[in-house]
Order: sequence, then C-alpha cells, then structure tokens
Amino acid sequence: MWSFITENKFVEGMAVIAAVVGLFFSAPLGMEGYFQYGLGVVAAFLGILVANRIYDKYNSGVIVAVILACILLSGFFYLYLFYNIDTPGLPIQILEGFLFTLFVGAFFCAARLVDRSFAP
Amino acid sequence: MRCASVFFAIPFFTLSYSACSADDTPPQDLHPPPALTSDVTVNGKFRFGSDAETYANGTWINHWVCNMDDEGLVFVWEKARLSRPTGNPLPKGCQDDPHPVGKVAEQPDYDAPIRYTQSGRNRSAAIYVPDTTASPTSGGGAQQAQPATDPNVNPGTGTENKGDGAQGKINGNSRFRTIFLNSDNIPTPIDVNLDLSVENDTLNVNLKVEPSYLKVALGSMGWVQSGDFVANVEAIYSAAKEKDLEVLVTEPTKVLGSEDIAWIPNVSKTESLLLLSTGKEVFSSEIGLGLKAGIGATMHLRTATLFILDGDNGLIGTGAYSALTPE
Repeated sequence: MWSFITENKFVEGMAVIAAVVGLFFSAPLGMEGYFQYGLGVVAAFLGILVANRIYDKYNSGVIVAVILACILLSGFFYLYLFYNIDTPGLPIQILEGFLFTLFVGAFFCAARLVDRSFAP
Repeated sequence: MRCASVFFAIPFFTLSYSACSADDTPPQDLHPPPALTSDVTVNGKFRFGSDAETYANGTWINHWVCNMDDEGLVFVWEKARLSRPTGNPLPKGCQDDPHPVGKVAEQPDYDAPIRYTQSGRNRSAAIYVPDTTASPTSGGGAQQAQPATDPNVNPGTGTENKGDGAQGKINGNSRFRTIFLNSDNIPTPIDVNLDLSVENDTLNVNLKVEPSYLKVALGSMGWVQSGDFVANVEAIYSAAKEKDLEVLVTEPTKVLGSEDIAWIPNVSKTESLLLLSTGKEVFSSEIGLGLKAGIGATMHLRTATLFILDGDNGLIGTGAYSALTPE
C-alpha cells in the first residue's frame, strides 16, 4: 500500500489540484453540476489507463506534444463554450463533456507518465 | 482509487429546486408592500421579482422569474428556491413559487443573488422573507407603514383604478422599485427611471421622467446611520441652483391633497418630502446633501418611499426604493 502511494505522487498531486480547482470553479447549473464532477473522475481513470498503455511505446517527445495539444485545445474550447453559450442545447453539452473529459484526462495521463518514469 | 476519493470530496454547490407553476406574464402586484423587481438584459433577457401579498386567507410571499427571451433560461435562485438546470431551461414564460407565511419581515433579504447562464453569472437580488420573530397569532396582517386602503381603489372616490394601458416602472442597475398606479387618469406610458446612491457624502440622483411634467418626491428616507435631510435644506438648494433643478423640501400636507394623503404610508405623512421637478424632458444630476456636516460619519441610503406626481401635484403612483447592497 505504501509503495502504491509513493509510486503515484504526481497522480495524487494532480487529484489534490483538481479538488482545489473544483472548489473555486463554478460548475454548470443544476444537476449537470453533479454529472460534471463524476465525469472528472471517469476522465482521470481514462487518463491513467491511456498512460499505462502508451508508456514506453511511443517517442516521449510525441507524447508530450500530444498531451500539451490536448490540454490547450480542449481547455480553450471548453471554456469558450462554457462562457459564451448562455443556454446550451444537448449537442453543445455533449461537446462540452467530451472536451472536459479530454482536458482532465490529459492532465492525469501526464501525471501518471511522470510517476511511471520515476518508478524504480 | 485515491484520485477518485479526492474527487468525491469536492463540495457540490449546485442545487435543484422544483418549479411550482408556469405562466406567460409576471404576477401582478396587487397589494403593498411593493414588489421587488429587476430586469436582466445582458446574457439573457428576463425579469425576476419577489412580492408579498395579503389576501383574505393570509399573507403570501411569491418569488418569480419571467423569461422574455425566445432562448431558454437556466438559473439558480437559491434563496427563492427557484432553479432551472441546463438540461431543462425555462422557456419563454414565468416560473414562480407562491407560499403562505405568517408575516413578512419588515426588511427584505438583500443578499439573495440569482445565478444565470450555464457559467453561473451573478446578479444581486432581494427577496421578501417571513418574519421569524413574529408570534404565530400576529400573522396575516397588513404591513406597517403602508396605506390602509386598497391600492386598487381610489381612496377619494371609491372607484376602482383601471391602470389599463398605463405602465409605471422605476429602473436601476442595482436597485429595485415598483410603483402602484392609483389613478385611472394617467397619461400613458409613464416612464420613470430613477437611481439613487450615496457616495462621498453626496446623494446622487439620476432621474429621467417622461412625460416631463411629472415630478418625483422622496419621503421616509431610511439611512443606515440616522440623519435628517431637512437639516440640509440649504445644501440642497445651493446644489439645485447649480444644477438648474427644481427642488423643494416640504411637508406632504402642503403638497398633496387629502385624497392623496390617504395613500401614502403613515411614516411618510409626518416627514418632509424631497420633491424633484424635472422641468425638462430628461433630468440627470447629482444633489449634494452635505450629509457629513454635523454628523461626522458616512451615510448610506437604504430605503426611500417614492411618489410620482403629476403637474398639479396629484399623486399618481407610489413605490419604494431600496439599496440592494447592505451596509
């Protein structure tokens, strides 16, 4: 158990950061707010899963570039839709959910990759 | 697993409340006290308000939101227990929540913001709240400092006021106000935009009144720190002269007829009125009251009773001003 904790420091750090950001970042109004936090958890697991799959399989420079692109592009477009669409319809909500999942997943993917690179 | 547990620890600060009814028009303000209403025209087009009405079966408080845009409206008004999530926006129309209360608190809750759009834009609001200090046997009564007569009935003639086709409103970005029209002899439309604030010991009055012969009188002004604007008559006159404005500080009995006196709240009958005459189509100015002199403290205007007068000083409307930001 202790080794699991020490070997996943960056993932744990990312989880703490996500929790703190979630405290101050307003969620969508209504029940969707609950859904969004659940989506964040799913995205975190997906990111970690992807990181375990791609670790040591691709050039690290390519991986870093892809992750950075995911974070920047999905983050930008998610926030753009969030603050510019006052009343989103279902298609926009689905698109926002996809972008949000990509955004959070990319962060946790990066954290897991760093943890694995430091693993003994 | 660790990240999952941390995520679940994030507080959920979105709540869901039920819709009680839906209609196309805002609820009418039939009885005192005046409804607390406000309009939003940016990132949505809707009107929201809170009102207290006294009927034969008791006193009711009603909070309502009316969407006037073709696009749906998502909002959360937590203290009014009204909300519409993004998955179920309010279509064009109204949602309200009337509920009976024993007695309405004298002071509204000025800290009842409404959040709207999916990103949760914030807008200050005030709502009427039940008087939790009142004994159960004291409920159902009319509000103090309000006319004893029914606002829909002309106290002089006993005839019911029509008010059809005459719209009265007093607008401001951060304040609420509503007027009752108590005469059927009203030019239409009446447009009164009034915004009052006190900054740096100066009472700022921005007033636009149409038709131009209408006058606005302020009475029973409530300050956080008590002060008497009558004591500053000289300051008012000097400031008015500079602004080319007609200002008169007088007693209600010297301005209003006996029929109109019956309309105004009791608390205003004995206090002086600050009568502002436009004299021109658009009036926008500031009046320095010199509040600091003799008081030595910053003043904050919290409430004021408004009277809309015609050219002959006939009372055609009453209302209330309240600063939404408590001090």
